[in-house]
Amino acid sequence: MLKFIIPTVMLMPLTWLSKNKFIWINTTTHSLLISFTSLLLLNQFNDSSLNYSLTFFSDSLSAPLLMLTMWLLPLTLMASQSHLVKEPLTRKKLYITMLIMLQILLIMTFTATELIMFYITFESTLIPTLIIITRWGNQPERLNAGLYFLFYTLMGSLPLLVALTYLQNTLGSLNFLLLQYWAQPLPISWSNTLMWLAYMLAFLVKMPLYGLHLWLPKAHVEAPIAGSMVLAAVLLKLGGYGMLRITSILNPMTEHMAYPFLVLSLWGMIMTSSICLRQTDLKSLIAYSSISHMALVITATLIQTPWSYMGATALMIAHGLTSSMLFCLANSNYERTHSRTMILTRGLQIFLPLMATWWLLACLANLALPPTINLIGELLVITSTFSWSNLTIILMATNILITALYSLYMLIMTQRGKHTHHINNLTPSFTREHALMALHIIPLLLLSLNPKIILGSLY
Amino acid sequence: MNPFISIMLLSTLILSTTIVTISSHWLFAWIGLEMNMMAIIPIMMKNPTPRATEASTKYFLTQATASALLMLAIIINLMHSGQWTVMKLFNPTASLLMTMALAIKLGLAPFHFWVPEVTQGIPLTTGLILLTWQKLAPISILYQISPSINLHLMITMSFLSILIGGWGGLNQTQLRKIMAYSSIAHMGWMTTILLYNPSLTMLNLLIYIILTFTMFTLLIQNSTTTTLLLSQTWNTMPIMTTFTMLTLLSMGGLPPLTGFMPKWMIIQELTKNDTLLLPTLMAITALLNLYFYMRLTYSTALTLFPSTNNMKMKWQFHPTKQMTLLPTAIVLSTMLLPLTPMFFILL
Amino acid sequence: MMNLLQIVRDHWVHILVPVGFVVGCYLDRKNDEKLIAFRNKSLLYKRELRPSEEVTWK
Repeated sequence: MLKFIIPTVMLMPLTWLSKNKFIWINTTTHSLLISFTSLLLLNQFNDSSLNYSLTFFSDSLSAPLLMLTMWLLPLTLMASQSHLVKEPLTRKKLYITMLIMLQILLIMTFTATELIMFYITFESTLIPTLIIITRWGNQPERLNAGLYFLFYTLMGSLPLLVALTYLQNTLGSLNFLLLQYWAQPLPISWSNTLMWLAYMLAFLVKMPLYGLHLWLPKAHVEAPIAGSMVLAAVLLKLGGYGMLRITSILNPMTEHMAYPFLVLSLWGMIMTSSICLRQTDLKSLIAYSSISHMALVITATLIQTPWSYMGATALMIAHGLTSSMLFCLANSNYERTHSRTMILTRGLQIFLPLMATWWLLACLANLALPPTINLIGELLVITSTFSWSNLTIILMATNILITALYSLYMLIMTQRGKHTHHINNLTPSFTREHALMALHIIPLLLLSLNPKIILGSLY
Repeated sequence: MNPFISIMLLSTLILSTTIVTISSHWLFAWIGLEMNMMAIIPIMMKNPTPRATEASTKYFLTQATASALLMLAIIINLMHSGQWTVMKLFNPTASLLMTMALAIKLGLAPFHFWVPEVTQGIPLTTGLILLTWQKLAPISILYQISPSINLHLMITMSFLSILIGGWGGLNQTQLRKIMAYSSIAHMGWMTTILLYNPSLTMLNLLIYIILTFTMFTLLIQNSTTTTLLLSQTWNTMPIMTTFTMLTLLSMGGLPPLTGFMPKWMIIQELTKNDTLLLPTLMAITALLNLYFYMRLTYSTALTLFPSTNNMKMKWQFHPTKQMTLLPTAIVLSTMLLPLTPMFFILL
Repeated sequence: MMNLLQIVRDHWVHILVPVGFVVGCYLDRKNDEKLIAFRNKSLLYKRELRPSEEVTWK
């Protein structure tokens, strides 16, 4: 795994030593190169995992998430250029350094072999993200958003630390590879209920589960574009990844405990998508749609069937790319009109016709239309929840309907209608932006040719 | 202050702590503590302002009370065991009284009220001595009598300290008071683990001293005493804002910074002793501390506070203070976490 | 010639990331070999050790 971590670390001196006019192009090119080397991870010749070392490993579950992480860095760099155009040079470099640091920590989180190592790197991602949100956000509310982000996550994850040290004391090892063989069954009792909560709450907050989600819209709305992209695309997936990993040691407690959380996530899915329908704020809408999609992942993880695991993994990748693309589109509007309010940015199709195509594609991907991988993910999740309980089809179908509604609402509000006068002199869209959107949509479409690589562990 | 007197006082300070740590006779230990107090009071009164006088009076009164209690405990112990040797106290009354006396000296809740008041009244350098060096002597005695301390009393006082250290700092804008409250909270962490694994107390003390030293050095550099002044650091030394932020987050115990190490170790040790609720509560209560550190971080590094135009010209004046130890201190206070196994070998 | 020097001076930073990759690959391979050599204890995963190579499980 060092073959990914060391080059990513080397991006930092690259940033600081590059000639001033080359900082963006150099970092973007090299991070793109690194993301191509991550294709090496696809070669999962071993059944269980690629055990690169005792500290880092990767298997078919972490490989797609790792590739997504590495793919996102060049995209965030491309997206942030005009956000930072007025900043002094040192701050630009600092911003890029923060993104690179986040990338390093995320790679280490997804590849960590030890649960404690996973915990430490999971927490460490907070610091660069917090700095990105509160240092480079636009509105004063960003300070509040940063605090919410930090304290929700910490509050959820501190019990996890205690639970993990307890596990270390009872089992003697926290190695993922050993854990599935060594773990004792967690019998149903009151103390184990608390234990289960301690294990899961950190990830449920990070996902976020409906009811624990209040930090997310705030953080998304206030973060600068790179922050929103990374947050939506990768940081939420930390929760999903952690849940998929840790449920293997929580049986049979999960079957006993899952009901309230399943209900909460199914209900929250409907609620958050309904909230989307009455949003006026574009970024907030996308954030709520993230929560609703993540609720599917929570449901799939909690019912613990092979199909649902595959669906959850596929949906995480699909949602990562889609929501990141939507945030990019929202940001391209924001950079031109300086407003996130949809009513003020309507009718953009006339001004930016090619951008309207990207909007259409992104919205269609968001509502899981074929041939995107979103469809594969949702199909697997819905089928498996249906076989878990037939009644869920009502909620799932409603959710699909509402998702379609708010996606079209978002599309129509921003692209169609009569344009307002204050947007008459918009700058045309840049090639950089089109490239950015294309780099989001191409993997979404191409992966549907061979979805096997993003289905996680195949059963 | 006259350099001769200054040297005299500082060497007495060092000597007295050394006497406390190495003596095996209760009377000498007690004398060491008294000398320690006598040496710090003139240092606190370096600038004899009314505020400093008040602070040193408060310090004198609390320390004198603590010393009297300590002497009482020693005498009770003498009557029961007939010896002056510093070792396990067999009499519960003596042990309770001694724990109380040392808790007053350390500023553990519910005897914590003097700490913020005194720290606020004295100069920053003296504050640094008060919050770091002055903890060594009482902790060393606690370390030696740790097997005979009442567990419930200690845990209650420690948890209260963590709670109050977090709570009290929430509505402070004065940095010295904030540092005092953070010291109370850290003392709570140290004494929680005292009965389970005293070596971890020492580790935590070491890390706490490093962190507090770094933070005070950063404050001394610009003579910063309030949050408002802290928010103008970027005018003089922009790089300092980053360091302040990292040090503060490290004090708050965010991984992967140094401050996480003692917390992690303490949680691990407590879970080893099948205490699961206490470490969870302690960790969550420590978030209160993190909250006010975050507020300082916000005003230092993450926002640019509005300031008047002549404030912006401050960068033209070069700093007069030499901070030779600062880079080392910052590296130590942020990057020690990967070296955790090394500390296990040390202890 | 001066031109070339100038280009090198401007763009030498491009070497950093590839060098990082090569170093990372080297370290990874080294580690793999160590793990595999450790496996040499078992008959199943055995690998022929090079003449100068030492066993690692000592």
